[in-house]
Amino acid sequence: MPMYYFHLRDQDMVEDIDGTELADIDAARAHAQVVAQELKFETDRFLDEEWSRWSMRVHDEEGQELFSFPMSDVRSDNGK
Amino acid sequence: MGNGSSLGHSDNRLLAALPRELFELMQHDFKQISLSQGQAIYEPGEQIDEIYFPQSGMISLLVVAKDGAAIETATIGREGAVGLHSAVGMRLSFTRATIQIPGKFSVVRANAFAQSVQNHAPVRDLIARYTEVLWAEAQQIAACNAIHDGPARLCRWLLQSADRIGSNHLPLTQELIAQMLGVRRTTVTLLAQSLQRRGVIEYARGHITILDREHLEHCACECYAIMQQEKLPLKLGVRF
Repeated sequence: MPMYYFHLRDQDMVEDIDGTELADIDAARAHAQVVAQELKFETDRFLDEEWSRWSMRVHDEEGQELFSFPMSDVRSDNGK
Repeated sequence: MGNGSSLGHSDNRLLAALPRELFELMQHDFKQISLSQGQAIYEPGEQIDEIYFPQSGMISLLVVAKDGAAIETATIGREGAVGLHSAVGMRLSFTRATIQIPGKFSVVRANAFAQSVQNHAPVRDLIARYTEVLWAEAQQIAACNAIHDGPARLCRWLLQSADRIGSNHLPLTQELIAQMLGVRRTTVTLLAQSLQRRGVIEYARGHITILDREHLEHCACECYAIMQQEKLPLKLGVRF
């Protein structure tokens, strides 16, 4: 299964150095949503910045960006 | 802390708190063993045959949900023991217990320890006092999980773990931290990376090193200070 990396970006990037093995890009989209929801549920701000300044950027193993979305589009619940 | 070769039973605070002559009497029941990360020592509902007193590692207690998800509810290090209640009658484990951080452990058969409990008042007292501390911790953690945000809880937990093993270098998998916070591993990585960005910790796969303890305490919720090993027993009017 391919690896996907879920980075957070404002002016610079907070990197997902570990990555996650997932079946395909649909699974990566679902995972990105859950992680984004968990982050917003767990903390109101990230590195002292409002979530509206951050976006989720999902990369493949080669570092190519596959898709992204602004964190302000994400509901802040714990995804459970 | 070295590689563990110089550790002994007295590196566990509970065993060290027993009168020396008394522990010498009990000592032949104890053995020292090494356990590695991820090793399970109890499963929910299983009989407890042995009691574990960490000298250097850390044990994690996990409640296992119906869907198989495991959530960490307590950690035990050199300040405590796991399975003590088996020596006072209750013999089944409520939680799963696994080795979260590898190390050396003093181990005693529950039967043998039950005998010591029966024969020696200081051993009974020790269990009673330690139970008070554990119960207070459980209440504090229940409140903490409900009111404090993920980053603050992560900081609190890193500090507690460092105290439990006596080292600022924490060999922790992302998976185990995820069980503690009840979130996906990716969420853990991003939260840990944000702490690294602040220079508080260094995070690499499977390893966290605390670089700036003072700053980490500042980022942690108040629960760390309340539950600090040295302070909580005093709050309860308990001495070890």
